[in-house]
Amino acid sequence: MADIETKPPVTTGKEEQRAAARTRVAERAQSGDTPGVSPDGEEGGISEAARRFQALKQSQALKQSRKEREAALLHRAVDIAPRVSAESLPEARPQKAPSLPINRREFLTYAWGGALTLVLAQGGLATLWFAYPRFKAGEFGGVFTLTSIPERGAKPVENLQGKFWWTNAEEGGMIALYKVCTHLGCLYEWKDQTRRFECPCHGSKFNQSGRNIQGPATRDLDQFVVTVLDSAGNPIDQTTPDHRYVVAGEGLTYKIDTGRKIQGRPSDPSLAVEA
Amino acid sequence: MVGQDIRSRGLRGYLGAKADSVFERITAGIPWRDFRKMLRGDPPDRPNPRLKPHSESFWLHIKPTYYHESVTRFTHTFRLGLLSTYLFVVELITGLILMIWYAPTPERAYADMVRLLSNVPMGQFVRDIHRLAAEAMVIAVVLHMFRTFLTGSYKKPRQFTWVTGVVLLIATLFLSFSGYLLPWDQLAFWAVTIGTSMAEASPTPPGAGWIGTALFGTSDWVGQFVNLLLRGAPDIGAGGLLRFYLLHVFFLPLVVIFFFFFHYYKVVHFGISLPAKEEEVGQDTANRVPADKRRYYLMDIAIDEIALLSVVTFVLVAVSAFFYDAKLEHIANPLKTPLHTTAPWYFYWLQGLLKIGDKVFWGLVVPGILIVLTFALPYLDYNPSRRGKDRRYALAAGFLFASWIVVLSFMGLPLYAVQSPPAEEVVQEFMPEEGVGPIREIPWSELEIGVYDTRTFQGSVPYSEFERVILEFKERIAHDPGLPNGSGIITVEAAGPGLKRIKFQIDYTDRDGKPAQFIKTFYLHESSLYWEQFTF
Repeated sequence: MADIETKPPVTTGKEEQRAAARTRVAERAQSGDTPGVSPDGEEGGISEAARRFQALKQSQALKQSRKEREAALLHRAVDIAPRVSAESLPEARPQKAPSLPINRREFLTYAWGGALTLVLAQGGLATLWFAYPRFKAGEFGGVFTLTSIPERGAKPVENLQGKFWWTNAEEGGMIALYKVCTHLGCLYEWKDQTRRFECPCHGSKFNQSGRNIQGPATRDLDQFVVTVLDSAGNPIDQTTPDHRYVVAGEGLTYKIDTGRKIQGRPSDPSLAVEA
Repeated sequence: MVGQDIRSRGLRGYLGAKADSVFERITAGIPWRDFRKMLRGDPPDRPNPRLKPHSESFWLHIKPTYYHESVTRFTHTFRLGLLSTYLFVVELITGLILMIWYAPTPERAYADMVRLLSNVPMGQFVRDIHRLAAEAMVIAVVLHMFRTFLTGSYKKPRQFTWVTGVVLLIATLFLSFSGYLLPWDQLAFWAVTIGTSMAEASPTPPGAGWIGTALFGTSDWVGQFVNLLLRGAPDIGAGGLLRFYLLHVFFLPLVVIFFFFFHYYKVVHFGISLPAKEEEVGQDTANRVPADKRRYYLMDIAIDEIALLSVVTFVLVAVSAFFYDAKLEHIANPLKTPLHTTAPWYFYWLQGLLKIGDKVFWGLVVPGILIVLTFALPYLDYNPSRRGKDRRYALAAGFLFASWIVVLSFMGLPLYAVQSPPAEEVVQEFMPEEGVGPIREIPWSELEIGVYDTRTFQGSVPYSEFERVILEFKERIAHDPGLPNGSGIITVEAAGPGLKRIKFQIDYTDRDGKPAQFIKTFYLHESSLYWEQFTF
């Protein structure tokens, strides 16, 4: 009940509109957009020519008086203002609109708005979780057992199932190079004519032992972990990131684990060759 | 009541009035007589009944009642926004029709494509239109954006309209690209492998590594995560195909439709900006159209639009029917990347960037900066003037940017920095691993069994198509600086019923002065019909 009584007197729609229009016109007149329009919104009686004349006079008067006013201001600033140091001046504060305290309704809106945002974000994350594929690491491969090796420095042997090139590196030692280019995932091929690996997509080139020698790739070819077993079945050597070439020899057994991949080293600029 | 009406007006008058009221309901407010006046080009009655459909009917309420005469000139906008929208509608319709004959699984997708092309009446035609309109849409959207840039129409108050437009451009590009995987051919498989590998390069933001360590066992997880989400598995397979299919037919069209209405609302709300000469610098008078400058949507503009779209439709149909074939390469083979795999042409610039160096920097950071700059353009360009002479630096920068994209696109072509050894390139020219090439265009019957050695081959005038190609092959080898003392042998053998084996052999002297040899073998089936496609 009290609320209703404190409300301003109810006005009819038309009256309100007229009042609003009057204030609008007054504002415009003050800002100088339409000179000659009186604040009460009545233009009646003043002709177009008269209004223009008035405006012209106003602007001329403004120009003249501006210079005078500037001089006067300077005068006042220098002579009349009290001599005070900058530190002692009170800080200039921009005029603030009276602050609005947060009331219950506003606070609750922020609270449930925030809660709603959180729930939506959770829903988004849950969708990503939902869409995340289920697979086993190294699904395509498993462990491949090989007993034969190519000759040192010869053309590497392609293993289609294991997706690797079985290479007896020129430097000496066996290496199982993952078939996928380290640039953007195309399958590179061995070229007999140039004796190197070349990628058909963006032109990365790798030498016989998988080192990046040209093109946009920024690291050498990736490789799989190779474990070497002697004729008795005892492990004698294994690939590690610091030990990339395992021993090459006849009568040895090689286990290539395509589930364990070692990233290639960053490209060595000293190996780069001209196109 | 009815009887009374008939008595007072007569049966004819009564039925006429009835028919007119039905007509008025269909046209949402225009009576038959004024409809005819509209078609005749007469001025409207007072009050103007032609305004009523703009408030009564759904389809017309999104169209403005009238435009400023100056913005309706064809050369002001080239109607490129309308054209983009129309091409999108064409895509929706043809796409829906194509879905009837397509299932997104690796087992069926390619077979469905072959069936569509060989066994469904007008199957190839619908696919050609779908593909052609998709590429046309990319062109239309890009040109639309460039026009907006040239006329400075992204300036205040239309900044946010531009932003929604950039979203639409990106969505258009992704729509086009996501459709790439669906035929499940070699082109599709490897273009999308490259695309998702680029997503894999996304760096993990600093401080977010622990999430990966906790969930995926690696701190550099963001790229891998995005890649897996897109591919559905470490390699593209059934999961990836289904995901790209859903993106293509559902998610991205929704994005486009949503942002289209966003964009279009703003366009109508602010009006199309006038030619810069016609208003003061910093002014925007597009929504204050003087009565004598108004051109009403009904019927003038509507006829303009219908006429333009009819011409576009005619061109689309004619080009798809006679001049354009959407390619279908061999079935996707995850074990072999074909030579010269390329991105679609509208991503050549990106492919060019990727050849420069590091994929994180050139494949993500640089395009990322470009996209952010494109979004921010209206907020960075604070110059209020839309006139060309006041925007020298902006226009120069725009043209520089456009030519930079052209240069990058050239760098995206296979002939830039992806050259294979010379002998292989020669064979690729005559019989590419994917696509057609001169040899496959030769009619099956003319490709006669035999051994053709370029050292001894003469041919006899008039040359058959095959003989002409052999002579070209001979010339090509003889003039290749990478093949000193080069000569070639083409062997055509019968390899089975309706099957020919074509062996290319190129002998040359290698860098060490030793004789070297390159051999590549292809099979060609009688029913491949490459020659029919390319000879009408």
